Amino acid sequence: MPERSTGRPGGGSNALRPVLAAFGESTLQLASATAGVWWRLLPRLIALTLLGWVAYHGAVFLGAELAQCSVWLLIPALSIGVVFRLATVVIALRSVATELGAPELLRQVAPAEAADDDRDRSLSRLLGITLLPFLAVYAAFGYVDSFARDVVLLSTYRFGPGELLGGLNPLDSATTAAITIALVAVLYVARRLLARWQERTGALLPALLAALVEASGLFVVLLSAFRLVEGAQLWLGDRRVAQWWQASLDWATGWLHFDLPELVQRTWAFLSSTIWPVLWDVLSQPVAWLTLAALVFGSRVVTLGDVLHTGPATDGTGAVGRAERLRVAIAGAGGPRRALLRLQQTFVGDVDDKYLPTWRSLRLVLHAGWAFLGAYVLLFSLVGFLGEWSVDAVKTAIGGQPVSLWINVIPFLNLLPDVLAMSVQLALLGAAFVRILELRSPGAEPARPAASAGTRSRLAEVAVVAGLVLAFVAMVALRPNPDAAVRTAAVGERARYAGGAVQVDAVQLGTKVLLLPSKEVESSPVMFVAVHATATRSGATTVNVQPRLVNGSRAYDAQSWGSSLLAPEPGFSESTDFVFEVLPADVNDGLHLEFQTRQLLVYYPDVVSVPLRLSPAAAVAAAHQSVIVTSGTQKAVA
Amino acid sequence: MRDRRLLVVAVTLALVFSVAWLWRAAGDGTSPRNPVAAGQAARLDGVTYHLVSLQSLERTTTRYDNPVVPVRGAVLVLARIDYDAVGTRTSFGCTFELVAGETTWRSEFGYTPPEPEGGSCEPDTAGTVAVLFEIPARNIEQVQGIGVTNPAGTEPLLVGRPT
Repeated sequence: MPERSTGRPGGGSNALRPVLAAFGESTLQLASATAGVWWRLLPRLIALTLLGWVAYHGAVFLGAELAQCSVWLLIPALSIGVVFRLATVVIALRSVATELGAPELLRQVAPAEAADDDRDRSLSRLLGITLLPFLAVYAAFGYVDSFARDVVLLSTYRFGPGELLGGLNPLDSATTAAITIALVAVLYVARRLLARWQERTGALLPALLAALVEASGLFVVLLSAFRLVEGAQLWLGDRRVAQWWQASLDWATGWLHFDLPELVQRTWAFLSSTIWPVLWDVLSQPVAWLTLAALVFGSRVVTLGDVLHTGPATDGTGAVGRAERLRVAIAGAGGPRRALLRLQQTFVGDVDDKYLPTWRSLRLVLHAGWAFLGAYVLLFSLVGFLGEWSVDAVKTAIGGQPVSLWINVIPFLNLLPDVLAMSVQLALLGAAFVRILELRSPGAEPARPAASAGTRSRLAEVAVVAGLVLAFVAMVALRPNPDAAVRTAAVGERARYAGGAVQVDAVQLGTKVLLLPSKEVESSPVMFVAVHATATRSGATTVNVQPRLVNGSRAYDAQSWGSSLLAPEPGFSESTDFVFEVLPADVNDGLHLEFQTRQLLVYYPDVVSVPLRLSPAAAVAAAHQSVIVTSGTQKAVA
Repeated sequence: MRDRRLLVVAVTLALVFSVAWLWRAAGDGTSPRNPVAAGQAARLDGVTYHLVSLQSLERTTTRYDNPVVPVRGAVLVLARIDYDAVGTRTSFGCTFELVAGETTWRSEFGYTPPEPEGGSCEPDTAGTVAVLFEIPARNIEQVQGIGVTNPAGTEPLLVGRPT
């Protein structure tokens, strides 16, 4: 229940209680509505999410195979997959919305000036209206990238690393460059023409074609045209203007007592690699999906085009005035100026088609109040994490395996998050959207404590939100290692690895290395750690390990004084010395050797970690010692 | 009723996709082998190969009279193969492996056989190469022959038993 202001400052726990109660009530309400609609629509939701799963993996499969005939065939194959998958999501969301009575609620709360776009009358009309903006947001949040990434992985595994990306690289040949540039231009124009056709007729066919063409354009950029941008950046980096820019930057930041570009780079790296993944996983992703859902359910979006024909701006963005001025200017212009204005209008139309509906949807979602949004984000993330954790649990049960096994089971592993978890999330999206509409309906209770509530109430809200954020971060941080099956073994202990076993036999420390039988001596200003290791291969499965020393975030590869690889033949064991040159500060309890297969493609491989149990005192004692390195030996396994 | 029909369609499509995916996956990672009967020649990319002999040895020597002795519990297998690569480009080379079912062994790196046999195939020539393998003694009975490696497709298997 919302807190009622008494005008008196309340105690800390008293202020927290109603805030927690509001949050708890929202969570329970949402969970119960989700469970109800999910159960009622279970066969349809499972069917649609299953079709979406087929669309995704089928497109990746077909794309990799078709690329063998011509790499450009990959583009339509992936585009069809994306559009088909989006269509299943749109239809599933519409089913949930209809089941929960969203269309009627929407008519009650929609502003009088809002355009009724008759999306509820037929499925084809709904797809026609929503597919394009849906695709734009879907791509903006990186979901389309995963199609491109997975097809490159599959193709690299099946046909080799150079096959696909080499064929699409516009920097490799002038013909590819010409095709890429022509495709980007033609697809853009085609998309605009199809959008106009769709606007005029309202038919499904031009909408579907527009979405396909838009998706094709995205894949041309993701798989090929991005290299043109990279090439231009590299070219620009070699020009004098880059030196001028660097000199100007140095001059402008010269008076600072720290390296500003370095600081900016480090801050950006921290934000992009540490903060963003957490924010994306737990906050942005649920809000992005709810925005997509709002697009489908219909927020009665007034588009720029609508306003051009029906009246003045209602959202105060100023964009409408610009569009209207453009229309008037085109009417009065001639010659090249008219052509330029037409181009400008085309761009405004593109924004209108794709991003304005999304912006309005996002505003609608964000005005729902913190208690509701917190409850929704919590439930959405929880279901998503359960889907991901179930995949992790299956991977852990199977254990570390070569990529040749994983690449063939990945689609089936994804059934849990893509079908089961996704069906629950779609139901949750519907329930959440309906709740937003209820909160906006005329007789609704306020979504959060009134503005007159005291400072303590505000602090309580902040405390609950902070607690939620911490809980989300903990959910991400506590996820088991999804990248490798790590087993720990002691020095002298044999550990199972891939198709055999590995073992660290002995460890030496010193500042010199004596190579036998050549008796050559090398010295180091830091420290040598020599590790004698053995790998055994029992049968046909390949054992191919390149050990490395790791301490925290620092990793050392074996140097050329010893070996760098253990790759025994079937029925043999191979033993050899690995020599690592390390910083003395890293010689401590955290230093361990990792046995790992170093390949171009890996997915949840076996990793054996062997703590070397070295102390800083041992490093001091070894300051004048030599490590002895011999050539490798081989033995037949009994 | 419509929902059930939709579910049946979805499950059917998912099954069709799964079968296609698994069928394609079954061919991954293993190059199919084409056995060539003992005494017969195999042809791959315009080059013919013919297994002359396959010998199991306790020891042998290199071209420079250096002894080659297997480790305890292992034996050496020496394969002599005639090849005809006349007309091939300068990038031509050949690689062989000893095959025993799914298990294969690479040849001993750096082994140079006594004259007149060569240690590797040369482009645009014909001749005999001798390739040495070291395998566990317990596997000698399972050896099926010499495979000519071909990453692009079917590999000829020159069938033969070590004598």
